[in-house]
Amino acid sequence: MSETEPTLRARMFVGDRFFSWLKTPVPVLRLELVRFAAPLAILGFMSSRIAYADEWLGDGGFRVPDLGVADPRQPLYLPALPGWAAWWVAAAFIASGLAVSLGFHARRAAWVFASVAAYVALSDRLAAFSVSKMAPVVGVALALSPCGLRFGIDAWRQRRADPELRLPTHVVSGSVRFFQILIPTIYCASGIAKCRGDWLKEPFVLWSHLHGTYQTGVTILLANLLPAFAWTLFQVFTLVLETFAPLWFAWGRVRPVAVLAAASMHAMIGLMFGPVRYFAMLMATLIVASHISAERLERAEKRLARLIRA
Amino acid sequence: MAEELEPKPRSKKSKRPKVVVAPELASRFRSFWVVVAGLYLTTVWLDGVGSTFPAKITPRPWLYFSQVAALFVTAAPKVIDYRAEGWSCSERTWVEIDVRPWFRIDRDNKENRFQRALQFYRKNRTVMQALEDFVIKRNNASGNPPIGGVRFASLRLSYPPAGEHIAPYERLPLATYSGEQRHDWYWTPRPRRNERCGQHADPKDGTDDSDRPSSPARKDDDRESDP
Repeated sequence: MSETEPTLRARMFVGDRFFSWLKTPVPVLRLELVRFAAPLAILGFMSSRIAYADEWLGDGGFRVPDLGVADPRQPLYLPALPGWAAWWVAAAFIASGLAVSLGFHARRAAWVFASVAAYVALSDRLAAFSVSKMAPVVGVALALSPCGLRFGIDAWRQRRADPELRLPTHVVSGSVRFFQILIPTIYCASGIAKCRGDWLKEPFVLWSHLHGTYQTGVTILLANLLPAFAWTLFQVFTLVLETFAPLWFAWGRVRPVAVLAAASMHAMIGLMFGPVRYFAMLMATLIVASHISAERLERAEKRLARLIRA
Repeated sequence: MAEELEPKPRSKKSKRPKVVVAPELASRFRSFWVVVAGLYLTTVWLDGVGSTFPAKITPRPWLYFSQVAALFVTAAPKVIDYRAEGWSCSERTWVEIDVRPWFRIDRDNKENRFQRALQFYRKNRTVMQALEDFVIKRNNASGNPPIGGVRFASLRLSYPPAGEHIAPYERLPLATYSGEQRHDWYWTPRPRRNERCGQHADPKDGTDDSDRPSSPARKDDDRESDP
């Protein structure tokens, strides 16, 4: 009697099981969703900086002077660029980001995107946030993946050249696995940090963050609509979701609920903390693309293929 | 370009495979990238939970790109807003100056670069002096009444208890806030102000000849979070 794959896998050593998991095909949409949406979220976040590239990267704005290597807030000092060069860097950032998103020479564009993202994150610490730091990581992961094979301009051109060509529905990609582990890692670390911070001592941590310049109309509406205990409930919900994220995302039965909960949490963050909306979009993209069920993605892939005749 | 994972068609009509797997990308460095990814994830986790181990053994840029977790870990005891004043050469007094035209990125929220400069470096004299030079040059070049120095302060504003009515945040003139609500972090010493304004010292002006506040640093400003 032949043994089934799960039975075989159960008998493997941990290392072999890991590499077997790494090499298991996954729906191509897991990768294509990140390839399409992540650069847009990153460019959206950067748009307010790109609009003033001379101030951001160039000599037209305030620059923190070289503090030497002793300062952890300045990991590497990069001097200001001349104004014209700052605008070229900004243009390269936009062009490479859009090329990745549209699937036009996606892998090569992803290398450019990652390089520029790393440069701008180091160049101006004052304008760098989590999205700035994650951008080069996402870019490198996409550059090392077979992204752009199913949807996008390159795939469309290949299909146009050979109408009988079967475009891949699945890919083997360590980058997808990386994204799948990245989210629970960030969440878990964040949850533990919150436990070590004020989240177990102070019942209104969320409430305390509703009052500054991050406010939106939704913040005001909900702050004035919801009873005080609702903010404590949100706080408990967030803490449980984040701290035990590896469990929620590894356990197949609860994973759909975890995806929904995490996506809802980021939707709320995006709606209630204006400037954080692009961070929320990036995280939601990675969560949905990495952890939504394969069946749903396969169905979505077929529908999308029919819709755009790809 | 793709291999067929499931070559048997479901029906006689459809001979096309349902699952087509793209071939793996050939890479001599695959193991290297697996190790890099593992190290990155480990650093993200360790740094996020508050371990100082990554800071001790990893290069600063590597650590910097790994610091993406641990956001909003503490409660914000106050709303913090940083402001600037200039020493008016003509009126010989401090007047509020709006620095937002020279810090145009996210000019109306705390992701603004002026706000961030104060948030990170308000206790760093080198950066504060560079900021002072920048603000004075921009102000004096923009046609505003000339200033000979700057004073950077934080406003530390209370918010209502949970469940009570809140109003949208409004940026009011610095003069409308009480002395208890503001904390001065840096100011240009008098000799430098006088020198820039081309004036002689006036004995009636007081004795603030240091660029550091004498009162102990407030902790509230240290508890700001930003994603």
